Amino acid sequence: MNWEEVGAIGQLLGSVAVFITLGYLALQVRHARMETRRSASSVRVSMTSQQMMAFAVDERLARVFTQAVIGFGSPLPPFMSELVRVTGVTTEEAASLLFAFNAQFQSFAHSIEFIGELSSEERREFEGNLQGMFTAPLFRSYFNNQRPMLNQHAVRYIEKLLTQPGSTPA
Amino acid sequence: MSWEAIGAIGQVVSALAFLLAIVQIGHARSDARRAFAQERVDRSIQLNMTSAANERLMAIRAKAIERLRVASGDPLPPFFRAATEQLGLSLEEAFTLASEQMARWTSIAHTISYLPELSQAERAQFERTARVGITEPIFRFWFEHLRSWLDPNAVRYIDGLLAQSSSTSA
Repeated sequence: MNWEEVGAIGQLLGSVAVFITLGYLALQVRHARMETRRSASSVRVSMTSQQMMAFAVDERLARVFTQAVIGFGSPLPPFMSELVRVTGVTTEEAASLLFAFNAQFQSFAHSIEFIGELSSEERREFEGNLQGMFTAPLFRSYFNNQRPMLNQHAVRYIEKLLTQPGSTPA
Repeated sequence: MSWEAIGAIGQVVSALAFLLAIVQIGHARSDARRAFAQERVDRSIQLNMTSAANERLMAIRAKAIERLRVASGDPLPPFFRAATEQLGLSLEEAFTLASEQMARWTSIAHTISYLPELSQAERAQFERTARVGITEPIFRFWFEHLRSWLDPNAVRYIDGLLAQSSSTSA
């Protein structure tokens, strides 16, 4: 092979490389945008989850929240009403559970939003956890009662998941 | 060497540089996935441990679940049934145990997913610690009841470690 032939092959490879590079660049820009969006969303979810959990674990915060809702004459969130009616827990106790489940659901919704980023094994475990939680009576009651207030993309994903075989309590 | 030869070599080198760039882009992508997985794991551990560490929240949860279960006639999920019947735990204690073990598992499974990225020393350290943790009766009990819901790769890895442990101790 002479230098002229090597040059021609190199040039051919170079042209293909430029073409593919542009494609990759476009892909990379898309990934970078998604990464920024995901990162911002992650920070938001972490912060709100922490706030919700603070309400869930602090009896005084749960009491203040409940007194404020009742004081303003606002209806209790449906999950709280149902819980108080069916189980006889106090409104403060129901508020604590509502906040704990809100924190959990926010975290689930975030993972569902970026489900494509999970490996197949991570996804399987995540979906197994969802099936386990959402078929258990308490979380199912939360889901059924709070559904209109929840992230609708996540709601549809979970509903679809629950229609699949194997959705039985762990 | 002629200018033509130098040009040809340059073309070939630029094609190779392109290949390297593609590999780097692949790494950046896998770093982003890893960051996402890490954030999910951190959040999950935090939510589980916050719940597990809060006696009041666990008590409310157990009370609500027990009353819902009685009202609906649903059986307790297998792990909680086994924990209350075989270990003699209260439902509240069973929830605490489940949340604590789930937080522990989340961390172990995440590390297993990224084992190839650990140095030899880090991997040896992880395996030593994991072997101690997974041979604890409480972990075994939790693991056996929940294994079908967990990341299958991590479950296989743990099974391998457990087999090694029993052959060493035999």
